Amino acid sequence: MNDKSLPEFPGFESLSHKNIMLQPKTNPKWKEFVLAQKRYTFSFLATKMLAQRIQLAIKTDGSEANIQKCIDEAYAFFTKYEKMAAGDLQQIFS
Amino acid sequence: MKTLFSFQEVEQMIHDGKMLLLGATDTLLAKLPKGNWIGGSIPYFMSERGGLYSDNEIYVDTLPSDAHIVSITNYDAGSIPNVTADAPENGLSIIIIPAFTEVHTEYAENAIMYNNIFAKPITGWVAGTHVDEIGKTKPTVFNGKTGERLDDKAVVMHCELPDGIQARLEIVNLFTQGAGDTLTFEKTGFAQTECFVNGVKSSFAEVMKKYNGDLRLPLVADYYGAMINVCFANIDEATQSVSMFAPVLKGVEYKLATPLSKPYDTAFNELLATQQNAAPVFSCNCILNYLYAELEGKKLTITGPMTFGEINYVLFNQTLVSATFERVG
Repeated sequence: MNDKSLPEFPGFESLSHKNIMLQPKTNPKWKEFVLAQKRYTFSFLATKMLAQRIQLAIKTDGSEANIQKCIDEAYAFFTKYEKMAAGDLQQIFS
Repeated sequence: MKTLFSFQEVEQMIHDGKMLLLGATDTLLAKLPKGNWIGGSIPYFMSERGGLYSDNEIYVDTLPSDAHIVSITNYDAGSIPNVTADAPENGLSIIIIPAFTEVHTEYAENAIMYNNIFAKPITGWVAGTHVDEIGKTKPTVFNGKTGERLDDKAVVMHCELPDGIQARLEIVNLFTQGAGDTLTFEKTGFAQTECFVNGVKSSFAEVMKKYNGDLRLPLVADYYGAMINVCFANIDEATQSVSMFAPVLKGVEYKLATPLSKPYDTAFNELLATQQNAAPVFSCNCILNYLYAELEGKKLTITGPMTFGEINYVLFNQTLVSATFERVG
């Protein structure tokens, strides 16, 4: 039976702890990200999808208020997935 | 690893309290006892024995025992946008949607804009039927907790994960964008009569005929490196409407895919061999890959039901989706 109990399951990989610091929302790189002003190729599927969603949201409403809302959403996302999306975060702030 | 089980074996797993994700014919699933399971109708599988059709075995994914089921909930087209609100803060939700229903359309067209959709991992598939029964027999999904058999609602198992473990959702899609025209659409939808070719309004059916009308090649969008397919179903000659198995989205740029240079199974297994993949907790692949690449009897390194749509956050076509768990703390 393919019972994948957590402690024994070989698929649970420990991620290497990269020294990525989440930058404050006031960092201009966040705005650059939500406005897609730079070409990114992300590795984490959730980041790719989030970036596309933000692009669609900004196309519909490019107001400062919506830009800030998208920055808030991206910030919350990377806070939650700081380790899994470490490489993508690095791209945004490089 | 064994993935296909007899009815009696699955019955025993349910009695043992296992948390199960099941794929089988409607007839088999309808006879199972209540328990910690959800399921969907489908008779096509990629198993450890290779690609096959089976109407007397059940495909089983068993969730890790430390994952905790928070709820098993049914959603219709009106309530499905709440799916992320019901999901635990750290967990994995598994969704099965019956094909060709309102909830299928709603999720396919709008999930990308649901609140928190990319912060609350959701994986799953679209239930189907034998391909000869399309339009005659309704695909079904099952809520094992209540014993309900549903042909108009989606079922979702919301699972919580312990601190320090997160779900990672990824895809394997062998198609990439070709170098040709850029197609865009005025509205989101599964069927279109018009498109814009490099910004010029055109008949979508005429454009497809110009491309030699090979409907097996999907349209592909590039979401920051993720290749997102939209596959063709048919062209209605009377209305000149082009139907697809997923919606094209307003505001997204598409290109016709580059044809694969190798057989699907060869290219798939070669690609997987280059990656260090953890064994998935759940995975599924597309019935179109099964049919177009003639996968019956051929083996892929990742197994799962061959479905009428694959879901990792949003609906995919002709794509393998997988969910793994990773230690992050």
